[in-house]
Amino acid sequence: MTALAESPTVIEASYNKSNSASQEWLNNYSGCANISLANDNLIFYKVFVTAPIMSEKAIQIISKLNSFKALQPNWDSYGAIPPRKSTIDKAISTVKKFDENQLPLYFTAPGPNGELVIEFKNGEKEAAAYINPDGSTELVMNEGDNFVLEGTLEDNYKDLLKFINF
Amino acid sequence: MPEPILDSDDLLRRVPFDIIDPVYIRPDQTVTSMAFVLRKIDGILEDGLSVEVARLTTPQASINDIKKFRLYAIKASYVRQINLDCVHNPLSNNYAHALIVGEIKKSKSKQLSLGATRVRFPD
Repeated sequence: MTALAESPTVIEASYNKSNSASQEWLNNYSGCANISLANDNLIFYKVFVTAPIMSEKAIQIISKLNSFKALQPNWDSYGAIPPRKSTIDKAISTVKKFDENQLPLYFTAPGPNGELVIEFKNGEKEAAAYINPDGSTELVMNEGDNFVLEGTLEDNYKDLLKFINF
Repeated sequence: MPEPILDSDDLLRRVPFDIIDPVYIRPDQTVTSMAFVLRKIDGILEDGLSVEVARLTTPQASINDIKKFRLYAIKASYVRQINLDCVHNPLSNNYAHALIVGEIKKSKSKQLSLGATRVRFPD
């Protein structure tokens, strides 16, 4: 579950760049971190936790999205195009927004044409948000076999919030 | 010579798989809609989704490479029920090959994923 810090919290620490877990954590908070470089390996940082703390699921999904940067052309053996960095970055910022709104993140996957999907699940209710290589988005929502909506994420975000969270 | 596909036929779809990261297989073992998205080849959408007619092949032959793929089955009747169609499309090296055809938008991809069930081969 997403938790909101009641008041701004300052975390001051340092970490070694060779520590991949720290690197991933810092990447997730880079938007609110004040980072200074002591030397090539040691970084000092202050994090002002005024933004919502991300859920474990969001961190997991973002980590998986970042892993898609390593996909090579033909990654599925049928000529699939790997997602562009810009598509992955857009998906990550979208996941952060979803998480702030406590949407039930469930799964993410790359598509054959460089697109990405972020899926939500709340019982029988499901939704899939697609981030296309050209930056456009699509949204599909269904409750079991009943398809509720197909449109863009931008035009239907409020509908998504109402549908999936209640 | 193409054969009619019966409503009772199972259609097998290969899904990319990796032991470390199942890619298209969700935590509940259902498959993501991405497994049923048409791909563009040189900017042109493919004619349909490639599947194999189960009664004309075996899971061993259909899976091709157990290190890279898993199989999901979908009934031909279900494909038709959601206003798509399936046609036998034998290839010189694959008589069981067929295509799911029609306007496959993302909602159809999602519907296809909802109708697909995991074929327990090899595990």
